[in-house]
Amino acid sequence: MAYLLMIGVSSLNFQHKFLPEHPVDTISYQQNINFNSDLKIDSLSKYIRQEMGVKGYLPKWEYRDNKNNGNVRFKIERPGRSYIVKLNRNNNVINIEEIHYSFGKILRDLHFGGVRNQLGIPILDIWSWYGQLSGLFAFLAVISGIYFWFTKAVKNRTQWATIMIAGIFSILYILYIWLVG
Amino acid sequence: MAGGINTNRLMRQIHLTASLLVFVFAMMYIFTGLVISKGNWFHHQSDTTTTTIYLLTYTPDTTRLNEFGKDIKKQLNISGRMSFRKNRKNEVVFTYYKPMVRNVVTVHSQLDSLTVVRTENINFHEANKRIHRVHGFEGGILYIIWGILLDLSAVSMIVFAVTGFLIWYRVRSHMKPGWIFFLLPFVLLLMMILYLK
Repeated sequence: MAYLLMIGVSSLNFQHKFLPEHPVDTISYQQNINFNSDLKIDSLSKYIRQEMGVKGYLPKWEYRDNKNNGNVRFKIERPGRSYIVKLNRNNNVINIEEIHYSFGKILRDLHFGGVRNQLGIPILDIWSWYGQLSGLFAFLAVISGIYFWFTKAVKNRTQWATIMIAGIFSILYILYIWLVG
Repeated sequence: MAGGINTNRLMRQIHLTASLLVFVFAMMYIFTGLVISKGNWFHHQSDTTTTTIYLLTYTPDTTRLNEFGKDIKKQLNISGRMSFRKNRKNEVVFTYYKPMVRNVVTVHSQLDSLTVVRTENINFHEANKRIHRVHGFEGGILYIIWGILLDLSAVSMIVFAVTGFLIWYRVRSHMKPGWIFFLLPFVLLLMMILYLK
């Protein structure tokens, strides 16, 4: 029930944006991390992320590497939170902005996180497995619902034909959007 | 008592109707969601991109972009959901999108030519991912219907879950383990929200 409610509400929110998704809190702090200043930005960002003890994605389009003054900026994204990391290759001070998001974004991340987790965060793994299991049960529930509909609820040919037409129309419609658009 | 029986029957009917009203759509979303979750089971391939330049034999009316976009679609035999915007160079960019193919048509600022960048990915996993993500109401009547069906699927999921709970709740004394299956996921959901907050 919890998963279906979350999926239902988050899907409606994708369409209508009624829940806020903006940042609600930013915490700024500094950390001293020794690093090899010759590293390329992708290796450097992975190393800094590891030293910060944060798990998250490193979007490549957020990489900024100024060769002239040595300033580097990158972003670490994980569900519900993101980190903007700024440093200069000439010193070991790492400036971090930790951004927390509002409920709509958390719900969106739970929707995606239920499907897939590649971060290796145990609680997200549990959520991901729970999401897949719920999806499987929901799939079986729909199939059993169709079975019960035909064996118990359908009383005449008109009802039978209505369901068949609705089903075939829906399949053709999905195929049309998929293949023709 | 008779009222109780009617309520129960009503719940069952709402429950069944919610699941069957949009059963194909619900199945599509659940199926594609499961395919997305098992991305490592499928073969992946990179997008293939082709770029073609067309010369325009007429000066388009850029004050009526919707009609111009439809003309391009017809003349170049492109299909898909259309949207348009202006890029940094102030050129008009039309995008025609369908789950496996995206055509991006840039109208050059002198209005004498078009560049068509066609990106294709005929891959089962990717196609499932993209059909799962189609949403919104822009792009004509077909997509308005899609948006409505997506909303109905989402509402059906909520109704299906709530009525399923109410059906179980009426017989909870006979199905006590149901409390575990009801409460445990809510505890997990709460933990997740607190963790991500």
